[in-house]
Amino acid sequence: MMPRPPGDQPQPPRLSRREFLARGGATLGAVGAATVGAALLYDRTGRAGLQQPEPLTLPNYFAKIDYPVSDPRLSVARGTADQTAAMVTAAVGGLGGIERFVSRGDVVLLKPNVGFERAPQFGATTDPEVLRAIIRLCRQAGASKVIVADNPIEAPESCFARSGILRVTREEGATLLTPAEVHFRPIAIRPPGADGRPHQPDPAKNEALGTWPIFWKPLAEADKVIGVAPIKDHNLSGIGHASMNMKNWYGLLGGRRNQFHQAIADIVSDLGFMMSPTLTIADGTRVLVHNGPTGGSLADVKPGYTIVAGVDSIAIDAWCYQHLLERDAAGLRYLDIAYDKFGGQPFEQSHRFAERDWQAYRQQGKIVETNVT
Amino acid sequence: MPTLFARRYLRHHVPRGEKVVGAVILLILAAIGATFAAVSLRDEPALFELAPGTGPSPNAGPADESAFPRLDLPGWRRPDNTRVFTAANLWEKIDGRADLYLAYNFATLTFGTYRGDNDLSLDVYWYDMTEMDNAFGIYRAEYGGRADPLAVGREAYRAGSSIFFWKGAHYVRLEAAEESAELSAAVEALAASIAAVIPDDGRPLWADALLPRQDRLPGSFEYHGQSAFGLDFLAAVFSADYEASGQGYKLFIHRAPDADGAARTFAAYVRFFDEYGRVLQRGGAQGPDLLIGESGGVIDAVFVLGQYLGGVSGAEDAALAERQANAFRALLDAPRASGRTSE
Repeated sequence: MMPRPPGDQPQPPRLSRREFLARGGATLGAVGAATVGAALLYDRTGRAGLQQPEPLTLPNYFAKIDYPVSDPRLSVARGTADQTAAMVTAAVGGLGGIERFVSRGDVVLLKPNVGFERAPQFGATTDPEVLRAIIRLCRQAGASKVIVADNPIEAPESCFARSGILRVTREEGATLLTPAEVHFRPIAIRPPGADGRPHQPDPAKNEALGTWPIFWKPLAEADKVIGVAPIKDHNLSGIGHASMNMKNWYGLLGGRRNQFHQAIADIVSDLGFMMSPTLTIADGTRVLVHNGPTGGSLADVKPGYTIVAGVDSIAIDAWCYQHLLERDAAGLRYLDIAYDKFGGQPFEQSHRFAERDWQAYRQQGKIVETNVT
Repeated sequence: MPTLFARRYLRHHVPRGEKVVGAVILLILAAIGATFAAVSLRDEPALFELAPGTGPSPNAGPADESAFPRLDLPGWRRPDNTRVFTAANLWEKIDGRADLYLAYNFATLTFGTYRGDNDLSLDVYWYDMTEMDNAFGIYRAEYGGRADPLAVGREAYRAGSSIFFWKGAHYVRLEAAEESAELSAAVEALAASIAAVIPDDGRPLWADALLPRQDRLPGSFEYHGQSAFGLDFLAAVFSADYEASGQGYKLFIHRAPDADGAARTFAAYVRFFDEYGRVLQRGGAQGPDLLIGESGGVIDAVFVLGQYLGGVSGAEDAALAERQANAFRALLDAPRASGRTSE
């Protein structure tokens, strides 16, 4: 092909002023928009990926249990030091057996109290043999997975190891979940108001917890939740100097939970409001009667040889306070507050049992007592 | 060839103005890149801080292993996990019980675990309580007379293989995780070693000499750091239980920094009875500074004597309370009256 003569070369059109301004403006606009966008998206603190999700409320883990209102609410089993498994079986059996609470394929969360780095004999933590017996019952009922979880005060690894809970969990093939920061998420203790805004706790109603980080990972997995708390003395008068089943849920709290001690009765009753477990099993095999909740001296522990299973968070604490700590449950204020918060409602509405006076159950024949010896 | 903006040919000449604009844009882009690079390279420690409430408190620090004495028994090693806790973070170790220690002017807890062969271990909780009154107070609060006393430090007891004692301003708990002869021997040796390094001038507790010995129930001498007898205005109080004529009561004494301080606490006592009970009597044969009041069915008789505030608490009978309070006051006043010191 012959090259074009120079005079035939097409001349590029000159850029008109209008076009120049339009292009320049568009370019500057694009650069400016990119800059503004980058500035808006820039994560100055690096916490964008850590933003907490919207708070949830916990489901009622008892709601799916077919439990006639005429059935027993508390079941007490007494035995001897070497009859722990038999006591657990008898106590749960008194409420109809574990199959009533755990179905085939369920993921079951067991929440012991492993708050301190203490050997089992000091009574500051849940007896590992009690936990072993419950894990086995859950397996018998066909649970697909049994999770053991707590958020101890001291280093979790040390607490689970020293308390014997780690050993038993491994031996029984259960899953131990120790807390990590990513396992917590905000939980609204009460559902939001009609306007969708988070409920603000009202101190006049003894409400203390609004939204708080909770050890969520095990709860998220669980179909059923069983509390397994030791019965023990506590330093704080606001909870009648006692740490029992309702207080056990304190171990799900994250953050600086020591700040709650000033309003401990409100907090513990809030926890009772928040958590409606599938089943509660009180470990009274040994009872820390002095210097709780930490203990550390055998002089502070007395043998209890008792297991109590219950479907009423208030009545089981009252019974244990009276019979295991041998104190007058009538004056236990946090139970009064708890009753005000979630008692006195028809079961059909609340799907939870709440009786302030455990002796009412005795009169109604709703306490089963078994001696396994 | 189609190009951007449907241009159908290549340009061989780019106008100067366009070149300038292009250069400016490139410079702006370079400046933006440089800015981001500069910001990202700048040290921002806040970026890596833990969220409030997570992780160990800045006050919780490891301590030198020499904080604990060597245990001269074969197979035993000094703690390698030693940590020191202060009032700010004691809850991280003993949440739920920390408040009690704080009420006794707790200063530090040094914690460590001695480890022996055969997986034996022995936890040591070494509390510095600032003053010996507080060390005694927390010891008595936790002891409760429920175990056999032992001769270590000022006072000690054994429970299982564990030993608990106080000496000087220190309260020490040596907790054996299990019971065995080997552990008991180790705990005993370690208790003696630790007691040996705790300074103590041997002074008796000042109130032990002032509270009468007669009718005092054994093992009832106590120290209340705060809120003695549930009264929030009454702190730093020694007390002991007594029994006379078949009736029990408590004698107590508080030493204020000066007479004005004692008078203020006395006034708070009066307000307490005004608000939560009733004043039965103001003044008595020995002077105006006597108060007898009733609250909740129990009777207190309180007096002020110089920098001391003392009296009877928890009596059932007002006459007994007045009588014992006056007797205690006279006993307390006797050395002053005779020109001797009270200790």
